[in-house]
Amino acid sequence: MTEAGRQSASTIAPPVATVDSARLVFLVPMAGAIVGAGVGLGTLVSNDVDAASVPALAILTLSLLTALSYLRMRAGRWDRPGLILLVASAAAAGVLLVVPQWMYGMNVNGIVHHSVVSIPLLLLVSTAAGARAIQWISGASPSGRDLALYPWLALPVLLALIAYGLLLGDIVITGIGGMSMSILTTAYHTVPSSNGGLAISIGPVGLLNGILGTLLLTAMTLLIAVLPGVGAGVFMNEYPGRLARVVDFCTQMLRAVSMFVIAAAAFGIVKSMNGWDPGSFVSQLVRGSFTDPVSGAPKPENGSFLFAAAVLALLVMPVIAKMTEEGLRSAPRELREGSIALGATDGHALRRILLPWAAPNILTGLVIAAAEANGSLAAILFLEGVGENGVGLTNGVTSLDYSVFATLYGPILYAHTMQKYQLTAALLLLLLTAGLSVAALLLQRRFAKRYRGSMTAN
Amino acid sequence: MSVARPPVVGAGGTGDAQSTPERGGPLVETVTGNVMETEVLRISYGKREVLKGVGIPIAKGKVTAIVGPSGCGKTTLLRSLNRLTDLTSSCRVTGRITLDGEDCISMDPVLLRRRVGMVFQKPNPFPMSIRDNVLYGVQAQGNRGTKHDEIVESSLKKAVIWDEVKDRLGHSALDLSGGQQQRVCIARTLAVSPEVVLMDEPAGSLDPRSTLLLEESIAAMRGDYTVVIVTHDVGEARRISDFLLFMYEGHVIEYGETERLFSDPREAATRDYLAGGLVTLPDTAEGEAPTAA
Repeated sequence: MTEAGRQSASTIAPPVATVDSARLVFLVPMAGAIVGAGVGLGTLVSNDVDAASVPALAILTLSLLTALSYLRMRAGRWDRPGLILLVASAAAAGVLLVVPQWMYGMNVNGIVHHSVVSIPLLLLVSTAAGARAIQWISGASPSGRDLALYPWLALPVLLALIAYGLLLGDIVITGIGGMSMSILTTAYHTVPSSNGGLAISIGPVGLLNGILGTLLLTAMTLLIAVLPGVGAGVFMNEYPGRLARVVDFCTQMLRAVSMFVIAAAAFGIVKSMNGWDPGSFVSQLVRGSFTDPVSGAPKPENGSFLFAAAVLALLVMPVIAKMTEEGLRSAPRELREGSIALGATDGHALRRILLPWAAPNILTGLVIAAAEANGSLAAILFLEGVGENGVGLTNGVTSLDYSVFATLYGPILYAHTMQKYQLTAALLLLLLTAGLSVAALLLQRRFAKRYRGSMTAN
Repeated sequence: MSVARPPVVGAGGTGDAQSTPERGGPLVETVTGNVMETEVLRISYGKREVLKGVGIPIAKGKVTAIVGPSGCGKTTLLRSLNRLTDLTSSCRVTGRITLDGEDCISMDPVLLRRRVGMVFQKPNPFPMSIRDNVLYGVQAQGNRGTKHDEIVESSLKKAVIWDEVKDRLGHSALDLSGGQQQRVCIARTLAVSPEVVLMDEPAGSLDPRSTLLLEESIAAMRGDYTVVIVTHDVGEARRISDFLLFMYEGHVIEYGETERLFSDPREAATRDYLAGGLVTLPDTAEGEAPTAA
């Protein structure tokens, strides 16, 4: 751009520091863009597009027009990119004005709501206008061009944040509504009818089983998965070769297997034990058992915590293995050489230097594994229950994510009473996972400081 | 090649004169006897031959310096002495290396490295306390608690760094300066009481003052330990070594007592290199003078 001739010395040096008040006018299109985009998105929620989007685009167009006129005055000519933006926004406005009548209605099959067209256009135009405005404020220098990239890069992030915010907001607002001390500390129970018949009625109502179930399931899964996972990672790193590549391939394939396949297999195992004695050791370990309150005899559940944890451990082991391997691989070569040169065996080096070095990575792997385990409801879907008979290694498996599912699609009695707590369960699950991640992050920093000192790798 | 003229140093030269020049064996018998010897050592990385038949003695209790321009194979030779060359999969070693008469190549490498230690060019302390660093090799050999304090103190004293760190043995070794870290690495190597200490340009990344302290510790090691040091600093070689080995392009050009090589070298190449770092070999047709390290 040939505005260089017009630039005063103050605009050459630090780009954004310049607050030439006249140039502040270029903040107008940027503000108008943000307003326009926000309003556009808001209309999706309000379903009243005509009322909102037209003013939104009007603001945008006007602001652009103002900026461009000012520019024409100062530079003596039109800013071509700005002109294009103006035309684009006019087109967007036109679409909105011309099209609404016959594109109206979100619930009608085959007819597209016009916001599908206008909102993206609006967003594109707003971002472009914002970028252009920033570039102008910074005096059209090369650094200004870099700064002008920012709105483009920020746009997808902002959209994602808005989407997450809407989802999470719903969960938090509705979920908190159902939250109370009693919900958190009461375990759901049904009560057999007093006259010994088959009918049962609702006892206390609460999510305690789900909470304890999630905690127990996560802990057991990690406990079972950590040794094979770390072991596989160590193996792949210390003995690279054909077998290691086979192990690597298998662990990665395990991740790709659909969770429902694993679920079906697990369920098949439980079903194959149909005729077994419910009180036997193996049956308790795999199916779980509870004591029938009426007859006093042991009865099988659908799957125990131990078994479900084993299934989930299978699912998450590859993550731990991969993170362990990467952690070991990131250990600087000179540490290994130093250890070897002192006549230490590989095992000693592993124990004293390499595994401590990889500890932060292993911890990250465990956290990811925990999150994946909690999210892989599908893998134990057929095994889960509502935890009526308590939470323990040989009890029927349950967890908060099942609560989220069962409050709509679970046992009728459960769904009937717990439906309003669905989002509360979801919120609790969110809080537990978030808490776990934060705790792990702090622990990870401590490990890195302790076992790596100032030698931060990668 | 100077292999044809085997100078004999030290009139006493009896002992085991198993090798002769024709077999590419050690060129000299040293007074104190040799703790290590190589014979017809050839080392190649893939197709590239880096050592082309090297046979040298390492005199016991003395400091032997290996000098030569970059790429002459001195680091490869050093690393073959404690079989660190095993770490490179493309490396092929033929020939013989002996330690106190035992064959090194068939020995368990872990045992070999407990007797032949190494200090690297860039200090590589472990991310642990100074005390744990020094004791690492000791603990690796199974010594769980015997005499640990004494070992730490004596090793750090031999490395001429005890006074500087005695009050902070529990602090991380990474907090030390480069020169101090290097001396801790020396202490760590000495703690396992090796017979031979290999040093690969140990002062390469140090400032002059640290270098002087380092040389002090090397001088103190003489007698109790055998030191083999690779250096590109010819002046340093002159200051600290008893024997000097000059290499060029995978061959040994000359070997002998340091002072003799400086004052009365037999090869023109040796004289040229020790004087100014450029080497002209009569063999090379073009009379090229490659740049020294």
